[in-house]
Amino acid sequence: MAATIAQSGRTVTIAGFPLPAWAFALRIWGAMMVALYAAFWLQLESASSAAVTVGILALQTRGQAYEKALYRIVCTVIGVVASFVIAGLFPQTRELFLIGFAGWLGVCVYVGGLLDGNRAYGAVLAGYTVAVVAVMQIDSPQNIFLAGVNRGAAIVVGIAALALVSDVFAAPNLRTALFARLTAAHRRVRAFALGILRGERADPIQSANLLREITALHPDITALVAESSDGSARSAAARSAAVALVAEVSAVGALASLPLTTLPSLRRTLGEALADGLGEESRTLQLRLRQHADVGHPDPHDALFVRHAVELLVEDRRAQDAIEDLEAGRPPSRLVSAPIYRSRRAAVRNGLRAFLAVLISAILFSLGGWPFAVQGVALVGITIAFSANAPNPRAFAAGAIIAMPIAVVLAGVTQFLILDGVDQFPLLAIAMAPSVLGIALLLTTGTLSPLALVFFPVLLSPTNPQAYNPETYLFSSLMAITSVILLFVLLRTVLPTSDALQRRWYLTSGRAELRDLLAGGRSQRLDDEALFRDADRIGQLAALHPAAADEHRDDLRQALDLFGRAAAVRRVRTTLAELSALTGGHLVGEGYSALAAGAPLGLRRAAADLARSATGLDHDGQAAARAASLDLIWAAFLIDASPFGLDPHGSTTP
Amino acid sequence: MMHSFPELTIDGVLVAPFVVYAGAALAILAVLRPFLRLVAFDRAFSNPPVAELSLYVLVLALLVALF
Repeated sequence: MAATIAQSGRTVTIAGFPLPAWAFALRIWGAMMVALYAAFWLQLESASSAAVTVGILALQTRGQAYEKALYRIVCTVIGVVASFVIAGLFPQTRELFLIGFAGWLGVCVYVGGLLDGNRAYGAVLAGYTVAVVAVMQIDSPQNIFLAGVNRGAAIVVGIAALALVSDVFAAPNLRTALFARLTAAHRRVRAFALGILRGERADPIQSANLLREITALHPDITALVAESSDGSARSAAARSAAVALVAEVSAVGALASLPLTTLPSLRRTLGEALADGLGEESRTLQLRLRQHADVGHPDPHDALFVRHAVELLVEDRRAQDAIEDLEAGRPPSRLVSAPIYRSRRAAVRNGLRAFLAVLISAILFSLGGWPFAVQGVALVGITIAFSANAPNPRAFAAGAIIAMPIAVVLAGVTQFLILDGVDQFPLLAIAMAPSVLGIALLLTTGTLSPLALVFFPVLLSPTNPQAYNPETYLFSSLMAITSVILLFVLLRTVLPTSDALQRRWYLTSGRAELRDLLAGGRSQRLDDEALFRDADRIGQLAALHPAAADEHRDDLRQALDLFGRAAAVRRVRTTLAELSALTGGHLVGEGYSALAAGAPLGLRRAAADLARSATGLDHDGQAAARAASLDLIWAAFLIDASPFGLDPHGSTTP
Repeated sequence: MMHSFPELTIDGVLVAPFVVYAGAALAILAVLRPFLRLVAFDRAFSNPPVAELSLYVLVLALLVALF
């Protein structure tokens, strides 16, 4: 192979790929060979499953791979048990058996749709394991138990091989990558805040993309636990940082809604403190702001500015401290959870689609009367499960249509042109190297679907001794290609979920939740945690392919508006609850009823009443009453400023 | 004297003794994790994953030798 070594700056590339990409590809190839060798040595029936496991767990960092491995073991066990149950329930009736499998896959895809990252993968794995273990053995159900045990053993061997190779050859740590991404996100949030303080207008696309960048870290934050012995502390720190960053973006959004002329000198000082990376003077500034807040301002805009500026500083400091805790491996000072938003409707639709896709493909394949038809049904089940897990199922199907023929050609060339009848393991390892390295290198650039690395060993199907049966290869390849074409068609025809539909779901759910919140419904979550969940919804909305930039901007503006209003309502409820705890339930009734009515005048009146009646309270009570009164004014201000009002029914949706 | 290995039988299915040892070693390592964090095990080695792997092998070998 002609290798060109170019050095530009500090990045050394070989044949156009940087060294870390080569290290990743070599690790994957090494792990695959160790897994295959161990599986052959243990005389496992489905040795190729060990290689496939390595292909599936081919992730860049150790934490991600280990977490996925954990879910792969646990969910394979669940899937194998489900295989026994489904096969046992319908021993003589293939139709019912297939309906049972389709139903189970649908349920698993639905559950996967409510989770994210490797948990979602685990859920769909439990579903498609039935395809691999039971559907493939539909003609010989007595072999299901053995197939299940063999698959489980091969998976454990694959995982052990990958863990060994990743550990010994120092695969990159997830925490280093996560630290870099959180630091970058924090830098961007500060830059956003500085822009707003300088008087720039808040662009909804910029805010939404920031929220998307932060909430997209959630799967990696969860995976951090599996990486090392201090993984849980680091994960808690990263979670705390992400939640604080979302709260900081929310505080910046609140500052952006206030008039530009509010407290110009304070605006400047705050900007300087942020630009300085919150040095020593930030604490003095925070103290100054608190004094401002204690004194109270005659102009409500000034008072609101001070309140949100304090929040901005507090959250920025929290994020900074939590990022430092992540690096040091310390648990953070504040333990929070980071709940995610998942659209239940989308999950139901995905589950139903998986159910129908398996049934339709089973009918089509049985009508075709081809040999290996059952393999086709199983492959449709597997690929539709994978697609439900992808952020964009259609793009996944398009990628699969390219990746599958590549895997077929590579498996054919390796088996019949390069190996062509040899039976020594070293030759197999050398023959597989170009394909595995090539696919793994392309994976690092994101140009090839990960399916290629999974299906190359599936189609090559290394056994001991190798069968070299062209007929098996041809039929398997035909089924593999047919199944991805079928997947592509089914995803577009059976209950297709368009981006426009998803946009509508996201906005509708945001409005419904705001309605519940106004009516007094309240979850047990902290305000910041609920804010993170709302931010996750906006992140998903921002990730959708926009129909037109203006429409996209309008949708995001509406979503951010709902985000801000929900945050304001939650905040009013929290401060009212704090005041109620201090005063034994007095003074807050009017505030709650004004909030439920949602009229700006009523809210302002309740705020004024609260401020008036607080004079008789002690220092803490007065501070709580001032905060509650300001928050009521803030809610009234948002209704006035928003084109949609606080009444969620009033919004117009395209 | 020959060392006899305990065999686990789950509803008539024999499980190889090594699988039991490997699983038990993993469980022991999981229990040890908070302690390892307490003594800053990760910071004592330049490549903590290999150190943890070695610890796993040690626990596994100890189990095989003792039981």
